[in-house]
Formats: sequence, C-alpha cells, structure tokens
Amino acid sequence: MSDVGSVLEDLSRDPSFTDCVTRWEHMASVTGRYRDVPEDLSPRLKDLLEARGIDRLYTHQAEAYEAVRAGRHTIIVTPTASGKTWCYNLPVMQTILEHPEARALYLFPTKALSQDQQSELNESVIAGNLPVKVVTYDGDTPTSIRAAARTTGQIVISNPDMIHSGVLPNHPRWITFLKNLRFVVIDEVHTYRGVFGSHMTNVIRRLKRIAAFYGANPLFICSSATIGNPRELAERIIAEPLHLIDQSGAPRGEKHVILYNPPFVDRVQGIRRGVVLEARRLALEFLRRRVKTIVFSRSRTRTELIAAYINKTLANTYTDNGGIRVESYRGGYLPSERREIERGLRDGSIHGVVSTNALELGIDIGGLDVSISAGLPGAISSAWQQAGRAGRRNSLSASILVASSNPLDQYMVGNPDYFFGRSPEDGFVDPDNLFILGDHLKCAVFELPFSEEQPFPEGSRQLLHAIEETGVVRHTAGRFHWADRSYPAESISLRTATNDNVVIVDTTRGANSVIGEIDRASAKEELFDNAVYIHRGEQFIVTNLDIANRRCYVEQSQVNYYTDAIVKRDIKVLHEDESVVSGACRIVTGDILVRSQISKFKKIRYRTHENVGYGEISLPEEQMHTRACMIILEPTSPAGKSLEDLVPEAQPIVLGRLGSVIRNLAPVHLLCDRGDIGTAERLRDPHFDHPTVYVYDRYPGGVGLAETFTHKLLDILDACRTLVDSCACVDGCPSCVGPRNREEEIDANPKDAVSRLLSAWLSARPDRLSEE
Amino acid sequence: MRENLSKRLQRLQTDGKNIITPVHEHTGSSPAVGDAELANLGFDRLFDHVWCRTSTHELGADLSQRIGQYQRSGLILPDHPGPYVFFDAETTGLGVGAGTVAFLSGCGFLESDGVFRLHQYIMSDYPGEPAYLELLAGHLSPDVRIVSYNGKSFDTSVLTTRFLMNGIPWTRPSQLDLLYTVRRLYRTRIGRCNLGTVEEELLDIHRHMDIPGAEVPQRYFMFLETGAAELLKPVIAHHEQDIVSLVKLLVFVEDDLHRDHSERKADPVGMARHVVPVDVERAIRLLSPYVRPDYPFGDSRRAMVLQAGLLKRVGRTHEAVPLWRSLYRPGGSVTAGIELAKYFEHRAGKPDSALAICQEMCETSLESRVREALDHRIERLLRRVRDRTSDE
Repeated sequence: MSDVGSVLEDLSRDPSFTDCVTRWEHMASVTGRYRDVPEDLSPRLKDLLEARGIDRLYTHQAEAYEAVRAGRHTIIVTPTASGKTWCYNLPVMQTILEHPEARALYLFPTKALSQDQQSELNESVIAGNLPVKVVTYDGDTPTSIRAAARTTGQIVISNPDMIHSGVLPNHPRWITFLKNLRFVVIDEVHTYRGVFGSHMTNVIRRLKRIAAFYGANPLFICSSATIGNPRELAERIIAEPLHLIDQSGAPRGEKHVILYNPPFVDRVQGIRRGVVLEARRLALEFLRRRVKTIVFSRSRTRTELIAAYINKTLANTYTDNGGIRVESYRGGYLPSERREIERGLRDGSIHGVVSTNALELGIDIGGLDVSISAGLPGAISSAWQQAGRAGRRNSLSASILVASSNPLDQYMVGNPDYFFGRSPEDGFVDPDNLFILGDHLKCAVFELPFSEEQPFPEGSRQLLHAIEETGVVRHTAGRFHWADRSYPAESISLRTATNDNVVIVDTTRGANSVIGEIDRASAKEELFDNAVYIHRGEQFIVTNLDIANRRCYVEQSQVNYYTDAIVKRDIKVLHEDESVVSGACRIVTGDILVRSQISKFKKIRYRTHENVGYGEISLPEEQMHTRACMIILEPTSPAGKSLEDLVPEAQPIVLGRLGSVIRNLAPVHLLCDRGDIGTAERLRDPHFDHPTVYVYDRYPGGVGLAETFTHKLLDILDACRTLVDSCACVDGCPSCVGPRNREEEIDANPKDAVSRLLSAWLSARPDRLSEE
Repeated sequence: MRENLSKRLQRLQTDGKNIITPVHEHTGSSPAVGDAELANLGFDRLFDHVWCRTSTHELGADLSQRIGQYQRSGLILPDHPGPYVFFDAETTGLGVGAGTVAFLSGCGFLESDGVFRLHQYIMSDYPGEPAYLELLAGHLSPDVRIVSYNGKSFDTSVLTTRFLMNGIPWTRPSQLDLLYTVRRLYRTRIGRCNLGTVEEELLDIHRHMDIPGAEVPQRYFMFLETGAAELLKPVIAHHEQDIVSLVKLLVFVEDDLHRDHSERKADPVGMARHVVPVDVERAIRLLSPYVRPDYPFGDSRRAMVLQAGLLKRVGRTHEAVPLWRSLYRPGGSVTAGIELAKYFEHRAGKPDSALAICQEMCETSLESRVREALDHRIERLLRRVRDRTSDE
C-alpha cells in the first residue's frame, strides 16, 4: 500500500477524525486517452516532443492543435497538470517555424506565471534547438533590452496591465510586432471576472482595434480552470465565438476528497477548533510518512504561521535525520526564492509547502500527493483548483478541505451534495460599466482617433460626447481626438475596484512605510481616526485619516478591542428597470444612490465581543451610484407576513440578520468576494412602502453582480435557509445569522425568526422567477 | 439582461446628475477656427487647418561665414553636404505616446547673407494633420541635417509617430542635438541645461513675457475650443525664439571652443571627452593648458585625471606619472595610487615602491571591492619582493 493509502487507512479508523468528516468521496482512476502526434507537425517539434518523453498527445492536445490550425478561436478547459500549455505552444510554434515573421502574445494574470511560462518555453526552445525567440515584456524588463524585445521577440509574454499602460499607448513602437500578430493566448481566463475582467474585456477591445489598424486579426487561444461558464466568460471577453475543448485525455490516479468540519469547542456559541491547528495536525500525519503535501491557507500570515508550527513540531521529533523539509510560499517573496521552492518541489528535495492561493494557478510544481485546504477558498472552482494540486497520473492522492467557522465554509461543508454535485460558480463581466468603459474609451482615443465604434459597443460615441464635455477629447470632422496633455492609461488601474485609493502608511517609531492600499469608500468605514486596523496579523491604530491627500497614517498598537463603524446608509432609488415576482414578493433590479454617513464607532473587546465604548467620527458623506437588486417583502406575501407577525422590536433585527446571511452566502453562486456586495435593510422603505432588502454592487455603476444576483436569487435564498436550519448552534452564531447580541434586547430568537421567514418565502416559491 | 449603453447614458442624464456631466445637443462640429485671427498673427492659410508664417532674422553676414568655416574645422559641427534645418516643435503633451500631437513646427534655414529664414507651420485642427505633415516631410527630407534641442528623444520621436499614424512614409534625417553638447560642455558651469537657462547664462538672451512651456498644451486646447488665435500668440513667439536661440547657441559653442582657454567657458574635461572619439592627440592638446600639477584642484584636478588616462592610452605613460603623483596622496585619488603602483611594478621594475604605495593606501578607508583588489595586489607584490630578495 502506498504511504498515502496507509495514512488514509489510519484516518478512516480514527473516530475523532471520521466524526468530523461530512463527506468522504472516492474517485476512481481514469485512464488516459491518446492520439498520434499530428502528421503535419514539423520534424523539429516532433524531435522536441520526443526529447521531452512525449510520444503521443492527449486527445485534448491533439484536438486543440487541429482547431487552432484550422483558424478557430479556441478555449481549453481541462484540469491542472493535464498538459494545457502544449495545447497552445504546439500550434503557435509550428506557425512560427513556418512563418518566422509571425508573432504571438501570451497574457498571464501574474508575473509569476509569466516567468514560469518563459522558463518552460526556454527549455523547449533549447531542447529542440528551435529558432523561436521568446521574451518577457513586463514592468521588470530592463529598458536596455526593451527595444530588442519589441522588434525581435516572436513570442512575447506579458500581462494585461503592461498591454494597457505600456504597449497600447506606445503602439507605433510595436509596429513590427502588431503588424504580424497572429495569436493572442490568454491563460487562466477564469481569473478575468468582475472588475478585473471588465477592464480586461476593454483592453482586448483596444488591442483588437490597434491590431486592425496595422492590418492584423489575431486568433485567440484561451485556457481556463473549471468554472460554471468558461466559454461564455471568454466569449464575452474576446467578443468572438470560441471552440470549446473540455474533455481531458489526461489520465488521473485514484483520489479521495474529504470534507472536514473541525469539532466544536463551544457548541452554544458555535465556536469550532481553528483551521490553523487542524491543518497542522493533518499535514503532519502525512509529512511524517514523507508524503508530499501542500497546505493552502487564506492569508499570508496564516501561511507563515502554519509552516512555522509544522517545522517546530518536526524539529522536535526529527532533529537527527532532519530529512523533511517544509517551506512557505506566498506573494511578497523574491522571484528567486519562489523559483527555488518550485524547483525543490519538482525535484523532491522539499516535501511540504504551505501556500496562499499563489500556487493555486498553474505554476509547475510537479506532482504532490496530498492537498489540505485550511479554510475553504471563497469559491467552489478555487476549491477544486486547490484539490487539483494533489494527484499524479498514476498514483493515489487525497485532498482534505478543512472548514472554518465562516458561514460560506459552513454551508459548503454542511452540504456536500452541493459541493460535489453542481458545477462551480459562473464568472461574469460587465465591460459596459460606464466608468470602466469611459476610462478605456479615453485610452482608445489617445491611441488612435476614434471614428468607428467597432469593437466598442454601440453608444460609445455618445459616451465620448459626454466625455468631451470634460474637455479631454475633441470631436471634429466626425472623429474624436485626444485633447489633453495627460496620459490616460497612467491613472487607470485594472486591478483595483476604483482608481481613487487611500494609501496606508505605517509611522510606528518614526517609520514611514506604505503597508497597504484601500479604496476611498472602504477607508472611511474601516480606517477612521482611532480605528483598529489589522494587517498581516499585526495590530495598528489609525492616527490620522487624511482623505484629501489620500493618506492614512497608522501606528502599531496593543489594545484589546477592535472597532466597528456604525454606518448610516441612506438609499435613494433612482430607477427601476426590471421587476419580477418571486415567492409572491416583488424583486426589482435598478439604479440606486447609496449615501453612507459614519458618525460613530463601537469598541468591541476581543473574544467576549462586549461593547467597551464609543467614539465619534467626523467624515464627509460618501455617495455611490450603483446597481441593486431590491427585495420587497409586501405584507401580502408569506415572507412579508412572517415578518409582520413578529413583535415590532424584533422586526428590524430579523430583517438585518436576513441581509447579513444573504451577503455571506451570495458568493456561493456568484464568483465574487463577500466585500464586493453590500446590503441595506429598511423596515419602512420610503420608496416601496414595505420592508425592503437592498443587495447592491459595491463597484460604482455596477459590474453585473446585482443582475446575476437577481437571476440566482432563489438558489441563494435556498442556501441561506439550509445554512440557518442546519447550523448546530442554539441561538445563532457567527457561522449563520451572526451571534446573539444581548444589547438588541429582544425576546425572539433571531435564528428561528430568520429561518421561518426564509421557509415562508420558499414555500410560496414558483418554479421560476416570473415576469410581472 | 441590462439595457444597452445609450439607455444607460440617458438614465444617467436624468437620474444621476453627479456622475458624468450631461450630454448637450451636439452639432458634431467644433467652433469655427479663428481664420481672421490667425491671419492677424501673420499666418497664411495653405490648406484646410494648415497655416504658415515665414519670418526673417538678421544675424549678420559674418555669422554665415563663421558657420561655413566651422563646418570644415569645427568641433561640434561636422561636415555635412546637405542643408541644416533648425527644427523645433510644440506638442500637446510631454509623453511620446500615440496621443501626443506636434501642432506647431518650425524649420529654419541659414542663408548665405546672414539671414535666418524661419517657417512656422501650425495645424489649427486635427483634420489638417496629414497635409501639415506632408509639408514638414518636404523640409525634413533624408538628405538634410536637423539641428535641435532635445529633438532626438522628443520632437522627432513625436513626429515619427505622427507620420506613422497618418500612413505617411518618412525617414528621420540625421540630427545634431545640441542638448547633448550642452550637457557635456556646460553642465558643470550652468547646472540645469534647459534652453531657458542656456539662454540666460550663455547667450545673454533674456526673455520677457515668455510663457512657461507647461502652459502650451492648455492654450492650444483652449484655442481649439474657442477659435481665439490670440491665445496662441505667446506660444508662437516662444516657439520662434526657441529656434532662433538654436542658431545662436550653435555659433556660441563653436566660438567658445575656438577661443583661447583663458576666456573659454566650456568645461575642459567635457570638451576633451567630446573630441576623444575622433582625435585623442587633439584632446590632449586641448587639455594641456588646464593641467597644472602644482594646483590639483577644481578643473585642473579633473583635467589631470583625464589627461593622465589619455597619455597612458597613447603610450606616453612616463608623462602621466607626474600627474598621478600630484593626484595621489594618502586618502587621495585611489585610481591614481593604483596607476602609480602598476607603473612601478610593471614598467619601472620597482615592486617595493609599488608595495609601499599599496600598503599606504590600505591604511585609509576603502570600498570593499577596492580593498579586495588591493589585498590581492599586495599579496602578489609581497611574493615578488620576497622572491627577489631570495634571488639576491
């Protein structure tokens, strides 16, 4: 029996482990399906494959080769370690060998992935002695080699940010490259969703437009991890129909996937044993028997913590042979440090690694036997990505997902059918968000006077007329020209939710170092004067929030409380677009104006959650125009009635708890973070005259969350009910409706009331949302 | 799903007044260009949105003569068969990205009678760009030589992009960029090397009512919006002065280099460095009046350092030794010390003298890299000295 097998065997006999397992799924091995190396492949590439020990291709690789060679835009969706990169490298290199003037652009979402691909291609080019020049062009490329990279690089590896701010605004320097641009490869296309994806879509529009100016019309090859709608998402981003290849021909060894919910420490308050210690304990079971193990954790601090704990324990037992090496891996390490760890994992000198999601994406670290997720990642698709890190082609592997007390984790671990049964979340983008589109139209005008709307959407001219009023573009003789001395791409970031960020500066003991960045609206809610701010496990106190200069000064502190702003939100409905009926309640999608005013904050003691004082905040009001889904609980509906039946004092509390459960669980169906959506609840809503829950997109103008939420509403409510009903706590806990707050002074148990409300609603549930 | 973009925009105009300024009814065309006003500034309309003004400047007949002479014997003005075009452009931004436009360009020619003739072309709106560029291409043909100030990395780079984006073929002519010359010869004298400082400090030109360069783009954009050519008046004057200064600067530099060293303003080291690539001996001659072993400070010290290096390079090491000697003293020039040590060890056959110098240098504080090399050298010298002693 393999070592993995024997550890699993032991675990399955240990009741303290099995009692906590909510599902132990066994997946049989799958044999590989192969096809011959394509006949038209150049002998040099055939030799290369041979040199790398490949005598035939997996079916999906052969299929991708044929599709690309036939000139079809293609997307490949296959698991980790299925040889995805050959799917695009083979047809691209074949074309370059046939037509040396041809150029390809490879886009990766992170620099680490770019470097990984560069070294993989280098190995191929050297092994096959191929006349193909591969260069990386990103922020780290020295100025001295940039000019050569632009003109002679046949495969240029870069990232969307560099295309946006470096390449497109200077496209005349890239004329050789752009004129001959034949392929654009977008790897890990599933990472381009939400705000980042909406920006990416516009970057691709700009790229296509400039390529067309030079007479090029590139073919797109995308690869994606498994999400609910990879083809749809990629088609939206590149605006071309895609040929989908999602049947992997790669073999897969036998695998166990285990959902593990740590035991209760305090059942009444719903407190479970922490993921850090549980992950350490489980990882040691495997590492001690020299099973190669990866532990994923959600934060950088936890990564360091778990690795340190593991090494400390190992040092005690194994000081003499010291043979087991465990490293931590996260963003913020030097590239060379990372490369060394990756190499160690591949060659077997490192046995274990504790990582943030930095290793979730396709960096090559060879085969590992076991993955342990310390806390489920926010999305099912990510959970599978992490689980996919364990498993070689022919041997047994295991993945253990350890749940934290966060509601989303508790929902997933408590509903294994949901976890195993359904396809992962959908990714979505809204490239026509007026703010995002407006920003990219400015860039587009800078790059080339704007006359035709293609590939931008109809109505772009109208938006440009609006922008003309601000004086940065000029419309003359039917074309828009850039008419400002600034460089628009410079002030537009693809990654942050808004481009109006506050920088957090640590001034402890005279230091003056930037430790983070946060958008302005969140800064007001989290970094007001005297707020307690936790950064990578260290505690700081805000000495001064300087909104005007976008600076927040903090100092290290040791107080025993955290702070919570009391935010008064005022919502004004600007426009109702779409109205549907669900559970006899009216659901409206439309535009709202959210005004937030923060005037006070609470100081709350750690652990006991007692309120130990208040403080004043004086900050100007924050306004945001965005999209919302508005749920109106009319008294005639069962849900509305269930609310109305409560004592009046309990009503606002139950409505508030409902909002927070919805906010916690919405990411189950939307590929987004909890912080991407906001909720507001109003018992006597002045606009609708009935109790209303607003669920809104926290990006100005909305990026499609509100719409997607409306479509998934019933599923999300169902998930909410399941979570609340199945939670083992008595009075409500942080894992479901939130802990009972004695200050609220209500008799009714909010957990039961929330559950009744949800049941009432879902009992009146029609099969589908119906148009009003 | 969501409604289309136009609808969203409409809604914003009615509902969300705080987002984007509302769209007014647009006729699609821009304000009338101030034709009459540009004419008032002395411009003639050549094509739609393209205007030209020609001005002449008396620079004196002897100036043309001197330039002719400098072309044969000059230090910075290399012999070139084609005409010189003094060129400068005003642009809509400081970057060289695709969205920066050169809206005002000037080409100046020095004529044989000391008359400087300047053509200023202005593009009064974007649609005029192709015709405007064609006119420039006529002046800036491959056989001319451009004289500019920072034109290499900026003005002609912007032009290259503009030609490319308008699909007009253009080969960038060769170029004498005086910014590099000034940096090399006068940076130690005047500090900042922007044209304004150069005019004040070297050319004795003092501009009155000149607008700051940073204001130029905004004035052009306002002109586009309003058609008020009056706004451009200071821009055009500024541009004209820039180009006239180019000629004066070129002549100033050549005159300066031909002057006796006691009256010369140029930095001797910069001057010698400038000449080194073509003629090392000439560089040595130029430097020699500045080299004063009895006074190894300031210019003299820098001149000595370079001179010693040049002498060594042409095989006149023995002449360099006294210079190194006066440059070297404990805590003084490490380079000179090492050069001396090398000389004693390899040429003069006096390893003990070399060793003494090295050990003396070791007493002072040194960079770790230098110290390592020095330790290495001392080790070797010690061996040699020992070997020699044992031989005897």
